Amino acid sequence: MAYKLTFSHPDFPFGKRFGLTGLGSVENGKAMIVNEELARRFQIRMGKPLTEHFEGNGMVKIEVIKGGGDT
Amino acid sequence: MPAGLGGAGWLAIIFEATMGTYLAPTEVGTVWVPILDESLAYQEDKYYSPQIRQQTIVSEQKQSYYSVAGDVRWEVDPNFLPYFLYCSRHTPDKSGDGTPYTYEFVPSQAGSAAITAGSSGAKTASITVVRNGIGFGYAGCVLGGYSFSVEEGVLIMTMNILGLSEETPGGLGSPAWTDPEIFGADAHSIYLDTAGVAPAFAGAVETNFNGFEFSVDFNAEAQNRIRADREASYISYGETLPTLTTELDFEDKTEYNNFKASAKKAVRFRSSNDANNRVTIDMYNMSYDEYNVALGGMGDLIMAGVTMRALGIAGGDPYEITVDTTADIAGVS
Repeated sequence: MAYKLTFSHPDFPFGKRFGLTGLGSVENGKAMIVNEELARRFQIRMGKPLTEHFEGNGMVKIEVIKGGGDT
Repeated sequence: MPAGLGGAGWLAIIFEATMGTYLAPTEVGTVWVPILDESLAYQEDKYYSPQIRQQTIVSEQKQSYYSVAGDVRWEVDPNFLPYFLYCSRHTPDKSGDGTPYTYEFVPSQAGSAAITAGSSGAKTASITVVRNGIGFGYAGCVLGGYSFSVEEGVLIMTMNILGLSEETPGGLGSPAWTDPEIFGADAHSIYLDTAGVAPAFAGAVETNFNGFEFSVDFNAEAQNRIRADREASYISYGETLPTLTTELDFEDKTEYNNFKASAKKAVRFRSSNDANNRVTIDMYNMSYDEYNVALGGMGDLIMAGVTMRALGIAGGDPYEITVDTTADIAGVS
């Protein structure tokens, strides 16, 4: 299972790059794909699954993509 | 949890909607600010009952009023500097279209910290510090004072932060970090001009400043009032004391005579990486408070130890801090 992660910070320009610990970098207002392996390593590192970790986070939106995917 | 290191920690700040109502770093608008160190702490003078009861050791301790205080030291980054200056005793203003946005801060005469709506109003902040994975939330935070200094060529800011209360964050979210935009040795320039409300600073760059420290002390205090709560009621401000400290090569008696004559002058300090990443501190009416020149030793350069003080000026501002950045700070537009 892979995930589509969208990061949107209202204060910073569209496209400004942000680093998310354990996931790599994403441009503001854009999405990145988190594949199954990266999601697994993220869970080991952060102690929580991706969806649970970002639950309630107003600036990060997580969507499940069935069938996996590449980062 | 095993022991942790400071490097794994982090600090986040977000403007509050209501002064003193803590917002966790999961809220939209949170920014994560890279810092060098911090000492934010719960401050309480515990009450020890001095009851006389056949003992010479106190027998009871009760909770008393508390507040939050401590320092945060960081490498100045124009992406984040406005957040802190909005939460201080300044009148802010925002202009521009993003290439860049320009944030201007001039001293205000506010007697206490408060939230004023819009881009020309001061704010209070919730600050979250995570130490060894454990969150500490501080609400109602403002700057009680701050200093900008050039250390090892880099512009550093030390902020004295006061807050109303401490909370345990409901969630810590996940920090998002931008690339650093700090100011190194090739970014700084200093200009002098005649004191006035709008000097042009058109002269040549000054070349004999050995060090720079601009400090502002708002003489802020946490105020506790009697109510069924222990946290501080508000942060009060006293006299604002802005000073500039440096060391100058002693080449002639011109400035020494200016010191004795209480002559005034204007000073501009600017750190600039480019037009979108710039901090300018204009001090419009500076007077020498100290000018010490001495023979330090056989091998020592003869330098003048200088402290200047920013004074009020009719029709103008004693000083102004301008930040140019692409950050479009939400909630103040």
